[in-house]
Amino acid sequence: MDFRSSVLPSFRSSVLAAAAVGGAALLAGGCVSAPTVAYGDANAVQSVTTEFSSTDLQMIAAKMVDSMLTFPPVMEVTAIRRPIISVDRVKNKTMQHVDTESITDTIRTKLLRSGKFRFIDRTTDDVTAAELKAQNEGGLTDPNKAVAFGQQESAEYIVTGNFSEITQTAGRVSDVYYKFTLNLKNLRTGILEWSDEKEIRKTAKTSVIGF
Amino acid sequence: MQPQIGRTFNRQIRCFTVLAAGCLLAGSATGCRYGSSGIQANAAVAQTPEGGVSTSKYVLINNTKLANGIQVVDLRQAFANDILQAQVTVVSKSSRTQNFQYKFQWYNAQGSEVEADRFPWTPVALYGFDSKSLSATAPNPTVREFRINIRAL
Repeated sequence: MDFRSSVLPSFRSSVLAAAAVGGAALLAGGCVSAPTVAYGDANAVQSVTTEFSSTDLQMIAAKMVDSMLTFPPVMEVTAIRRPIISVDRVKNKTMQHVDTESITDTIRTKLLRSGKFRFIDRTTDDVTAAELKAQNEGGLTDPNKAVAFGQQESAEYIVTGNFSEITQTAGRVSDVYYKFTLNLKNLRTGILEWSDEKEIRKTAKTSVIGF
Repeated sequence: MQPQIGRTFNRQIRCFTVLAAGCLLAGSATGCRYGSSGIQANAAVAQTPEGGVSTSKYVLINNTKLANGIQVVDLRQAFANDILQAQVTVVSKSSRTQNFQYKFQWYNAQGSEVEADRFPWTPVALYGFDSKSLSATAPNPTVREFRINIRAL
């Protein structure tokens, strides 16, 4: 009849039993749990380390595109027609492995989508040559409908660049300065029609208490 | 015996409820993320290439504390050939350094967003009582209006 003496002991023993079963299950499973995975925002700021990050890539591409679109001599040309540009590689002068082609890919995509420029892509030349060869000499396609060799447009401008860093580390503080320079060179005259650079600084401070 | 146990248990539940509610209130007051939004400066007006007039006036700040700490003093827009260039000037009203992120959004003449989700949040540090110009260029010539989103880091 007494609540404490009749219900509590059985409650306590059932809790102990549940804990024992749970503990055994954990041990049997090796204390392994699946990681929680969730989709993040591709446009969010990534600042986990001072290494080159997605936000750095996006900031560089945004500034380079804004600058090229609104530079007055370039605007004079794009007001009349759409110049043809070939994107060459950007030299990675940093100590990190940075895929500079992904930076130039983003820049090229944004410039192309602005509708002000046209681009040629040298990286797919071998695939194109193989396709044209198959069309003209393969025998499967109608030669009258095949695309003949020697009809492609040539680039008028070429885009090149450099990516460098200056790092300073002292104790718990590290400071990295990135500089991305992009140039637009006129292939006929050899003149640099446009050039711009983007500077980024990232600092990291390790806390005293940590592992 | 029985009524005594029940009463203690009830008191424990009540204490816990009050504590939980208090924590929720405190958390929502200090960590409030969705605060004011709206117009804080004069609108930016520019003449479009086809002769009309386009206006941009929306500044969205989604944090009350940040909205009190910065002030948007100027909104400008201009057409370079047919590409819209936007510039927003913010001034810090606080002596501390404020870190926030901003993003421009672009709308065409019909009001639909152009190249949605292709623009990243740009981090910026505004030092005490400093002013900064946040500028951007539209992605293509169809843009007629811009809006700027500012959020706390």
